[in-house]
Amino acid sequence: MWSDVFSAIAVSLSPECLLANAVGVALGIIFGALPGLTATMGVALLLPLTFNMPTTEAFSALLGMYVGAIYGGCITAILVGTPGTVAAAATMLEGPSLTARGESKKALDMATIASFIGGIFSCLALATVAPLLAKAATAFGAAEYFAVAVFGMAVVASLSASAVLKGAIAALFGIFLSTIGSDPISGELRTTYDIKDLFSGLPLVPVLVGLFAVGQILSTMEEYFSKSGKDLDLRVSISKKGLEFKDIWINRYTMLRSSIIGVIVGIVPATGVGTASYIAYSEAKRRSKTPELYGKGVLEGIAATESANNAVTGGALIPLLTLGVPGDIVTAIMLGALMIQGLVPGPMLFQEEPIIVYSIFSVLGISNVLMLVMGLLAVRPLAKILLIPMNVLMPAVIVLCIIGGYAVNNSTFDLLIVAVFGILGYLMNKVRIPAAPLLLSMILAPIAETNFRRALVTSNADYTVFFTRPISACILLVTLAIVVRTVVNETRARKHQAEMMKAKTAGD
Amino acid sequence: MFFILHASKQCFDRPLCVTESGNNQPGMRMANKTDVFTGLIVIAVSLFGYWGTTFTSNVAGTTDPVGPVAFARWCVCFLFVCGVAQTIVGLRDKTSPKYWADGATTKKLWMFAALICGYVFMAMWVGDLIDCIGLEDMPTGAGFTAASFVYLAASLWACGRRNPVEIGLVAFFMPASVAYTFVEFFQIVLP
Repeated sequence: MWSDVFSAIAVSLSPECLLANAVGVALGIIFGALPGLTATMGVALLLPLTFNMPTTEAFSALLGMYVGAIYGGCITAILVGTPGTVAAAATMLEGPSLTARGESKKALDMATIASFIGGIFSCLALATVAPLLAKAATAFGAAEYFAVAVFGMAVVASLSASAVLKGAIAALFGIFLSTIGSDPISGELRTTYDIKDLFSGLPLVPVLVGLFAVGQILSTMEEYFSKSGKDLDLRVSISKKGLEFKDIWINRYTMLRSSIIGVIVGIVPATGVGTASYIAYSEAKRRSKTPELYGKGVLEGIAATESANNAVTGGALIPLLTLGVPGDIVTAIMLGALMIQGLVPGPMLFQEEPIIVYSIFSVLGISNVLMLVMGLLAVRPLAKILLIPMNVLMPAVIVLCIIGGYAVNNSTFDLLIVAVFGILGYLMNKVRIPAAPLLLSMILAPIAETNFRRALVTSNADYTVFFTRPISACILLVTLAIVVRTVVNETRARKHQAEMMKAKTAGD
Repeated sequence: MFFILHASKQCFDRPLCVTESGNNQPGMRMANKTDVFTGLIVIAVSLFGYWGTTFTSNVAGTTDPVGPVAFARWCVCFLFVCGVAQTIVGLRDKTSPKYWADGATTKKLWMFAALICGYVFMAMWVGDLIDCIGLEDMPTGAGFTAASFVYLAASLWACGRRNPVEIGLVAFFMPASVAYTFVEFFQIVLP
């Protein structure tokens, strides 16, 4: 095992991998910093470029982009008061106040160091927990994989911010889209409507690029047009005085606690960086000796949010590598990257390709080191990127979307998929139907269906197999509890809202 | 699709229930029009999806007790139920959240979206067109670069850029450099 570990570290430190990693981190910071561009979009657009790269190089670029983008959102959140990504939304609660006091460099340095600590912690968690979970997962059969996939779909639908019903609609629609094409067991064609291009199913990458890149661009341009074409004023000045060591030392426990929160949130399938950073911020405020200062520019708040959101990166890779279930949308894209490289995630990956698995661990660590260096030294020139006008950047990114959508299968039909799902993604955003459940269900549903049918075949059509096997039964019971609790909470919230409306109308 | 949405919006602009005088009075039940419409679309999609599953016979057997389309059918049935639930929720919703932007913004946005769709069609067909008119010595990616140039020039203008030199430079150099980099270094085939 140790020889595999050292070989993996040597591979990930090769000049090609280091270059790919550095370019990925730099692009990721740019994508994260610019409002309107997201980590998901960056990884989705970078994915097609990695098709012809060796596996470790490809993951160096993708993980570099992921880590950089999650961190990059804090730059605009702190300097301008607009989060570059969802991950930095909680950072915005403290960052602008520090900037107003002339402490922007201090805030940025704290964000950089907290992100680094969170990222390294998650890398260590990944390296220790993933092999143990992979060993435990060798006992998983078809019933257990079905239960995990259903759990993932239920969690993603129930965590939809606006309404659980809309999350369920998105998830069910994603399941339906996944059934288009040939049946994985019998090979029969289904729901193809006799369209030849659908015989092999809906390709994942064009759907992803359409939903999360083109859809996002349309939403961003709508916001731009609604402001009469005026860009946000993103001219920023960064103060000279940086962070001192004592500021880091005072916040060491906050960063550690937030990193643990980030890893745990990352492990749960379909939760994301936004959830982690808000939970960490709330916890830090609750435990603080001066909670009344929160919201007025407190470094501890930034330490909490940034270490939590970067800690999600490693946590989200744990279920991906061990079970093949993505922890969030970005790792769902990396699932696609693994499959394109001919690798099947799961416990067998640890046995058959240990060097690749360990190289993913070490690449994640190297990405965090590069992010630290760039964040501390290059934040001033990187902040200049914010001056690119939105009405030049967004049309240009569409060109990259088209290339990304085409590069997977070299099929012009995929370009139609990009356009259709781009418009669908925009419309879903408008009517507040979340897109994340749709994509994650498209990925998890084939796992659920195939393992459901396999479990029935091996148990001679005995449907109780899902409840007689203890691991499967536990996971399904937890899933049921989450669904019931979510429906009850939603019903209570609606009742409360109706009562408030009634009281308001009576008062009028 | 836009005209269907617009016409439907016109229908829903009137309140769903009116008094005898026809006036809209305070305390009237008003529906969340967008949610109702969303629910109806979901119902339509589920019916369309179910129709699609009828092309395949669901032959279950000893090797597969469930059959190839059972999963898809269960899914569209649940989707139908969710669509009905969403419609009812929309009808009962007394709030009127603002989902859509004002007319001028929506117009500009749909123009931008139309340019993207036009770009997709150009990326699909310009290469074939160049081939048909016998320009065989064009370099790889020429069709894509030409389509990208036209799209970028039009969309930069539509998005408010007015400097023709800036538009020309961005529209030419961006796709050309992307085409060169992607083809030579990443060996990506362009549309």
